[in-house]
Amino acid sequence: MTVSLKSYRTALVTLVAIASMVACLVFTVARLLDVENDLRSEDTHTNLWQITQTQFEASLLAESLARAAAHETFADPEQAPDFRIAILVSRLAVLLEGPQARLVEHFGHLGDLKRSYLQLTLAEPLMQGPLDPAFALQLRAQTRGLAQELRDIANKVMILNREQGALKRSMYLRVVFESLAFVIGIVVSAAFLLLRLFKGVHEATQARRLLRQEQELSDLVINNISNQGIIIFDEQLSCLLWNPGMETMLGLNADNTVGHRLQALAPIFEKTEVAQALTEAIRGTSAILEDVGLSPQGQARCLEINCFPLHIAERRLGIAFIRDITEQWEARKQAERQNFDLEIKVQQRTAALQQAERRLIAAIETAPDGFAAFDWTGRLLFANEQIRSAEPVTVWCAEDMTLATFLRCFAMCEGADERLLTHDDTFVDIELDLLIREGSWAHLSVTTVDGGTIFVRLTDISGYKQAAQALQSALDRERETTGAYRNFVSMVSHQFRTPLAILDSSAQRILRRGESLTQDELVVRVQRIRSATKRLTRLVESVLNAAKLDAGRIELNPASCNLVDLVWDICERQRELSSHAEIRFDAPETAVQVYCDSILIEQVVINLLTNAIKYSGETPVVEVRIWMDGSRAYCSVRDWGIGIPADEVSRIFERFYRARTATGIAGTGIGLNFAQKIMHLHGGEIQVESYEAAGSLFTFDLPMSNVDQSQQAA
Amino acid sequence: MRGYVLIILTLLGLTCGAPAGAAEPLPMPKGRVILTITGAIAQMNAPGEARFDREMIEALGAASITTSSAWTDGVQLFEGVPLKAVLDRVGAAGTSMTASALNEYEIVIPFEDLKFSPLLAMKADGRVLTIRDKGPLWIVYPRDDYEELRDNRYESRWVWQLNRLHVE
Repeated sequence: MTVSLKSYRTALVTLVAIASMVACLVFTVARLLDVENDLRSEDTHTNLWQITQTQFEASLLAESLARAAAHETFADPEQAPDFRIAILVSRLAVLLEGPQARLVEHFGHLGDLKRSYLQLTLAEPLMQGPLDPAFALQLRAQTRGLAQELRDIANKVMILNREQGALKRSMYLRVVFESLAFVIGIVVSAAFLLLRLFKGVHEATQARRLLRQEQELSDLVINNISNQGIIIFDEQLSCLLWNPGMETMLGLNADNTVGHRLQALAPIFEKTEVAQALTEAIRGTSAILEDVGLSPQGQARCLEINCFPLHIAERRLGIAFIRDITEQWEARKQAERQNFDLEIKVQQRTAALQQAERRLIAAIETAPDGFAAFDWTGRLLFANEQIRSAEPVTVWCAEDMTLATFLRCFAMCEGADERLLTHDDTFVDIELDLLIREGSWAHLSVTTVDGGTIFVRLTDISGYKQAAQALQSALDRERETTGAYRNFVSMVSHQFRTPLAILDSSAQRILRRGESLTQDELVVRVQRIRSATKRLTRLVESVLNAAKLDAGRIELNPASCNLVDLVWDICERQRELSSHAEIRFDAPETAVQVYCDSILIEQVVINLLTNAIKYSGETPVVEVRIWMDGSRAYCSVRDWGIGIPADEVSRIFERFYRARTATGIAGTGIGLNFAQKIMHLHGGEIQVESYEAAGSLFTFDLPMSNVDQSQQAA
Repeated sequence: MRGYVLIILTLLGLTCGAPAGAAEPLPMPKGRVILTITGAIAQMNAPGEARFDREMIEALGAASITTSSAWTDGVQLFEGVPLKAVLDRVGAAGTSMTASALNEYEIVIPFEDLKFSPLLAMKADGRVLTIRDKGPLWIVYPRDDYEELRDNRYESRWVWQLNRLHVE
C-alpha cells in the first residue's frame, strides 16, 4: 500500500515536471512566434524607402522638366518628362494606398499628396507633345514642393521609426527575459527529469543487483538442501527446477528431469490428487498433502508435498517442497492405533458406567423412599417420582425445585425447625421427622457428600410412628396401671388395715371379756365394728366405682337440671352429716340450668365438699359458689385447710395418689380421680388452686342449657 | 545542393526534350519591346537577348491569380502570363534571375519560386496596367494561397514596371 502510494506520487511528480517543461516550452515558442510575427510585419523601413524613392522620382521629374523648359532634347526616352511623370505617379499611387496611406495620414499629409497626385495626373497628358516652358517650370516648382514635402514626411517617419525601434527593443528585451525564465524552467524541469531518470536507472540497477543476489542465495539454498526436495514447474507441469534433494529422494538427477513433464518422471506425480494439487498451485491455491508410497529401495515411506503458487517475471509457476516424513508418519500411526484402543476402552467403561447409572436410577425410581440430589449451588440434579409427589412438594415447589425452595416446602410441617429456612453455604446435615399431613409422617434426611452434592432422602415413617405411638400409649397405660396398683396396694394397706384392726380388736375384747362384758360395753364394741364395716364398705364401693370407670361401664345420661338446687341439697345434707363444719353457700337467685348427668355431678360435688371438710382440721369452713360466665356455669368449693404442696398439685387427679399433707387422714386417692373423669365425660374440667397450709380452691364448669334443650332432655 | 542539382537536371530535361514551342526560333517583336531577357537562355531574337512585345507575351498563354497585396488594400484579380511559360519559351537554364524594373528596382528571384506559379500580370481587375499603374508587367505571387509568401522576402519580389530579366 505505501509502496504503491509512493510510486503513484513519484509518477505524479514526474508528470508535473514534464507538464511544466512542456508549458515552459510552449510559452517560450509562443513568445518567440510573437516576435517573429512582429518582425514579419515590420515594414516601416519599406515605407521610408517608398517615400524616399518617391522623393527621388519627384526630383528626377523636376530635373527632367527643367531640361525640357530649356528645350533640351532627350537622347534617352527614360529621361523624358512623360516617362518620369508616369514613374512618379506610380510611386505616388503606392503612398496613397494600403498601410503607406495610413502612415501618411498619420502625419496629416495625405491630402497634400492626393492633391499633388491629382495635379500630376492632370498634367500627364500634357507631357506627350512639345512642352510649354512656362508650364514646365510651374510644374517643376510644384514637383520640387512635392519632393520637399516628401522629405519632411521621410524625416517624420524616420523619427517614428526610431521611437518604435526603441519600444520594440525594450519589448524584445522583455521577451528575451521571459524566454530566459521559461528556458530556466525548462532546464530545471529537464534537470529534474534527468535526475529522476538517473535515480530510476540507479534503482533499477540496484534492484537487479539485489535480485541477482537473491537468485544466487536461493540457488545456493535450493541446491544445498539435501533432505528436502524442491521442484519448480510451469503451467504444463513441465519441470523447471529439480534440486539435489529430489535426486536423493526419487533417484533422478536434474539433467534428465528439467524440461520434462513431471507425470512422466515419477509415479508419484501421476497420482490424481498430487497432479491436482500441482495444477491448483499454478492457479494460485496452496496445498499440502501426504503421499504414502514406496521408496526406490522398496520400503514403505510417507512424503509430505507442499505446493505453492510462484510468480516470477509475469509467469505463473508453481513450487513444491517434498519432505520425507516416514518417521513422523509411523509414530502418528502408532499413536492413532493406541488412541483407537483407548477410545474402545473408554467406550466400554462408559457403557458399563451408564449401565450402572441406569440401574442406580431405576433402583432409586423404584425405591419406596423419595430421593433427590442437588449440586453445591442448590440446583436440582435428580429427583425421583416419590419425592416429586410428596405433598408439600407438589403444593409449593413443583415447578422450580431448588434446594432452598425444596427445604422451605417442609418448613411448615410439624416437627420442622428453622434450619430448613436458614439454609446457607455452610450447610450442616439435617435429620428431621415431619408430619406431612394428618397421620402421615416422613423422615427428611439432608446429607452433604464429598464434592458438594447434597442428597435428600424422604422416608415414609407413618407406620413406624403409629406403632411407636401405640407402644407409647400401651407403655403409658401399663405404667399408669402399675402406678395405680402400687397406689392401690399402698392405699389398701393403710386404709383397709385401720378398720380391720378395729374389727379385730373389738372382736378380741368381746372374746376376752366374754361373760364379764357389759351390755353397754358390748354396744360400744358392736357400734365400733359396724362403723368399721361401714367404712370398709365405702372403700369397696369406691374401688368398685373406679373399676367401673376403668371398664367404661359408667354411662352418661345428661339432662337439663338446675345446678343451684342440686348443690343446695348436697350442702344441706352435708350440714347434717358434718354438724361441726360451716358451709357457706353463694349462688345466683335465679336458676342456673346446666346440661349434665345430675347423679354423677352430685358425686363430684359431694367429693369436693367432703374433701374440703376432711382436710380443714377441727373447724372446717367451706365456701361453695355458683356463677355464670357466657355459655358456661361454674361451681367452686373453697376451704382454708391444709392445702396441697405446690409440687404435688399436678398429680392429685391421679388414681390412688395422695398428697403428703394428707397422711394420717383417711382416703383412697380415688375420689378426685373419679370426679375429674366424670367432668371429662361432660366436656368440662376441674381446676385446682391450692397453697400448702393456706387452703384450696376447686372449680368445675358445665355447659349451660337453654329451655329447648331442657325440654328435649325431658 | 542535391535539390539544386535536381532542379538543374529537371530544367535541362525541360530544355532538351522541350516542347515544339521551345524549339521554334523566337520571332522578332513587332510592337514596342516591353520585356528583355538576357543571360543563360537558349532562344534569342537579338544578340544575347530575347525581346518580347505585348503580343508575344500574350501569345505564351494566359493565367490569373486572385490575391491581396502588401501595397494595396483589398483583393484584386490579376491576369497575365505564367512566368514559367516565358522562361520556358526562352529556354532559360539557370538557378536564379535578376528582375529589373523601369524605376531601376532590382532583385534576384530564385527559380524555386516557380513552384508558386508566379504570374507576369498585365491586367488588374480587368484594367490593362500602364506604367503609372505599375505596368506594363507586374510579377504577382499567389500571396493568399501560400502562408509562406506573406513574408518580406517574397513581398520584395513583386516587381512592378518589370522590363528586364537576367537569367543566371
